[in-house]
Amino acid sequence: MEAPANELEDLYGQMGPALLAYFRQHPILAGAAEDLLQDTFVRAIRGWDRLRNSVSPRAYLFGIARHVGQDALRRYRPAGESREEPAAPAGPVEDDRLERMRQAIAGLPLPQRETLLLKLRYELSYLEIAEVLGLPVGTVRSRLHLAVAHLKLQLNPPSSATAHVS
Amino acid sequence: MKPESLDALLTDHCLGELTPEAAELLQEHLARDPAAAQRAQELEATLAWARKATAITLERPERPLAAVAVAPAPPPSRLRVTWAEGLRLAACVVLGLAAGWWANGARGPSTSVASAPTLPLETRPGGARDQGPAFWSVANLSQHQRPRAPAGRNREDVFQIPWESIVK
Repeated sequence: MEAPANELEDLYGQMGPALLAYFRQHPILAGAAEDLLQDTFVRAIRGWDRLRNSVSPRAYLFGIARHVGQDALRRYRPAGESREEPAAPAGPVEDDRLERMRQAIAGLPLPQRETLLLKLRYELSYLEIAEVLGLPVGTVRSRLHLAVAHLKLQLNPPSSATAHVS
Repeated sequence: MKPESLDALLTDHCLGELTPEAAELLQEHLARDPAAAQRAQELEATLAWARKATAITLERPERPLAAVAVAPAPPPSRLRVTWAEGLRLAACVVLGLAAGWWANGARGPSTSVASAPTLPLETRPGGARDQGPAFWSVANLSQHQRPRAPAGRNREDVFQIPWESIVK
C-alpha cells in the first residue's frame, strides 16, 4: 500500500521536531540530523503498512530513527579519534544540583541512559520504549527503575537533606 | 509495603505509568504513611531535576519532507491482467474455438476429430483398406505425384493447359 502524501506530511509535522532532536542529541550524528530525518521517513514509507499497524506510529518512527542512527554510526570513520558515546547536553551551569544531575545521567550505563532519555525527553510510554528498543516491557521498566534509583542516590546522598527543585 | 515495592510503584507513578485505580490506592497509602510520602517527594524532586537536565528545545526541520518524492513505487507484478484484458483474452479464445469448430464441422463429420476411428487399420470392421490409403501414406502420395515429363518433351509442356480446357 502506498503512503498517502497528506498523512505523511502530518506525521512529519508532528514527529519531525522530536526525531530531529533525537539525532541532534548525538555529537556525531548532530551534523547530519536533517539527512537522517529524511532517511527515517524514507524507510517509514517503505514499511507504511507496518507503520499504520504498529502499536504507536511514534514508537515505530523512533525505532526506525534508532536504526538509522546506528547505521550512520557504523559508517562513520573518525579521523584519528575514538568514537564518542552520546553525552548529556552541555549548558551553562545554572545550579549545582542541575549540573550534578547532568553528570549523573551522563554516568549511567548506555542502556539505562537511552531508556531514560526516551522516557523523559520524548515522553514515550513503557510499551513504546519496548517497541523502539525491541525489548520486553519488563526490561524497560527495570532499566528505568535502576536509572531513577541511581539518580536519586546521586542527588540525595543518604547524609544530605532532601533537595527540592526551585 | 516493602520500601523496594513502594519505590517501584512510586517510580511508575511519577513516570505516568500507573493506572488511575492503582494511583488512587497509592495516594491513599501515602496519606497514611509519612515516611512513604517523604520517599515520594524525594523521587518526584529527582525526576523533576532529571527532566530539567534532559530538557531540549524542539525545532522544526529546516527542510520539508522530501521522502514522498523518493518513495519507490510498488513493484509491478510479473503478470498484471486487468478485468477488461482478461475479458478480451477470453473472447479471443472463444472465437478461436468457435472458428475451429466451424471449420472442422464444414468438412463433414467423417473428418472431424471426434468421429475419426482410433482403431488400428487392421482391426477396422469392413476393411478400412476399402476406403483407400491414408492421406499421408506412400501409396497415396505416389498416386498424386506429378507426372514426370516424358523423354523428349520440355518440362513446361506438361503443365500447359490443354486447348479444350474450360479454364482459358
